[in-house]
Amino acid sequence: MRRRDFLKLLAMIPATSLIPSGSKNYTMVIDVDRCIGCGKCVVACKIENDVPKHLPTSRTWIEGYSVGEDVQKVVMNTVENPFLRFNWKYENVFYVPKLCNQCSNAPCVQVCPVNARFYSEGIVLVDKKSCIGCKYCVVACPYGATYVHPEEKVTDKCTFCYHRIYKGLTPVCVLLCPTGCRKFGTIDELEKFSEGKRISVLKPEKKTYPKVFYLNLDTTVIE
Amino acid sequence: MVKKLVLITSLIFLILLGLLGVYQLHVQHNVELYLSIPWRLLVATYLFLVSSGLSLCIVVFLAEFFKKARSIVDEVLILSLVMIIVGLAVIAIDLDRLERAGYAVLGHANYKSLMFWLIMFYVIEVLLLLFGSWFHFRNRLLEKKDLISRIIVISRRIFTDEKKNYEIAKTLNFFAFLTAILVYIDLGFLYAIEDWHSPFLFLFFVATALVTAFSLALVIAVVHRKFVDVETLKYGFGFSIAVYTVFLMWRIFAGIYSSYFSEEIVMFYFRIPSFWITEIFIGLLIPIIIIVTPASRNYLALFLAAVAALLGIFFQRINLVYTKQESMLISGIKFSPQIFLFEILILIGALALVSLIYYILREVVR
Repeated sequence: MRRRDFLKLLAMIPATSLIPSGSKNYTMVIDVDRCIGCGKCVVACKIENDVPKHLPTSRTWIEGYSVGEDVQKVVMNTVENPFLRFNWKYENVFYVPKLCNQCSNAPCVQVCPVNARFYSEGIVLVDKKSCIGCKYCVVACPYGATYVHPEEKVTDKCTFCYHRIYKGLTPVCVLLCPTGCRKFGTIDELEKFSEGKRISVLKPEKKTYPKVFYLNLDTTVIE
Repeated sequence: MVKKLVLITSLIFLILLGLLGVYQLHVQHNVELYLSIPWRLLVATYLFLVSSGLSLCIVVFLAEFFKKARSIVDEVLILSLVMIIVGLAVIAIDLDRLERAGYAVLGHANYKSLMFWLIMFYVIEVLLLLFGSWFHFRNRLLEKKDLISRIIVISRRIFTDEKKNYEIAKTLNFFAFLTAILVYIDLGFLYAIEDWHSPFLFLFFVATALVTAFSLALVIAVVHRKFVDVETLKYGFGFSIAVYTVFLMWRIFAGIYSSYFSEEIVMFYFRIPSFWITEIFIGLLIPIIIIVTPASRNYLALFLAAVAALLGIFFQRINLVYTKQESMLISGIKFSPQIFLFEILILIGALALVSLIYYILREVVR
């Protein structure tokens, strides 16, 4: 591990300190180099979690980037894969899967007036029966990972497929990824997967202490 | 009589239009609604109505403690209460799951949430204003024998001492004024745009409160021909516009020079046509021109200046709400900042409802 990566990991210490002791401290590590933009994770997530398939609101989505003199960005957030027929401007193309970062210091948990967002095993969950639909969490989330479910009329977001991990299964996006770019587990379990790679989180300046870590993420991805 | 009938019928028609908007919002399944930014025109309308209603507590405070503009206190108290209640009704309509609100707030309160405290402050504010108005109008209503007056007074045996009632009303209105300041602070934090003016927006909010307070008071004074107080209110209005100008400049300069991110947001704000046309030209320049020229001696010109300032503040609320969500991406994409027809209908309905309830209550207490 390089000195720089070690220092970055040190910055994550406050995040782990915020998690109640005894909890599993689940995290996800995404290896950007392995993602091919097939979109299986998006489709699987929509089916598993009953997210509207043709609306661009999604629990997880993939951002495709083409970087040259400028940055070209295309998003896959429905079951249609736009990357298949897209003519990229530059050869340097990479894909970044995104989802709720399960922040240890989550703004959505803080702002919700009715505690409809809460922590369990370090994961931010949504109590859909308490949500009053004020949409404050949607406005407060710096990652745009929360949306309003058009049929249920409550806010919704990724919960790392809590209903599955509760039974000892992995999240569906992790299970169906053909290249294994997403890894799920506790911080200790994922340490080996990250070895020798540059680790980063999205928007570290927001001090939300995300629990979704990216390996070899291009610095052009700031959102 | 015919005029009154036409007025009431027109207002009821506009309220029905608003109800049609509510029907379209909640009953008809509108997918586009979920592909737009989450806080839109209804949030801005609520913000305008509630903050304007709260600002009128300043006029009540001025009248009760400094013995100025006393002839319009009745109207100001009624309008304040009505604007706050209708404003809260508008935000309630915007909630996707209103039916859960009571249970959720009582059973699941998140004491760290600004919005939770805002709800609590609103409850306190409305109660203080309700009881304050009840004591303020009590002795007048005791003399009346119509049905509405009988219902409002509840019992004719208690609280009959006019002097005591006045003192209670004065105290309650003073606490309503203090609670209004608390609400402004909370609103300032809630609607502050990150990287621009958090946590100082509440100062700007208080400055805008002065403008809405004096503008509404001027409108009331001119409409009800209470010209005695117009002179006092005119100077208050001029002072509020000056304070507002200073804070507007401060807000913009603080944004431009504090960081790169804030500069970007301010530049975006500058590019909104509504900022220059409504906030600056209509809301600021027209009132300033009228105040500094001899036109200020004309009541109609003063009325127009006050209406222009109110319009400016209304659009300032819209611009603020929309700019707050400007850089927002949901599921990786930028959602459109739309204004839907049904939201405009609800806005019209809400304004008509404020006018109708104000008209009825004023007739009752007169």
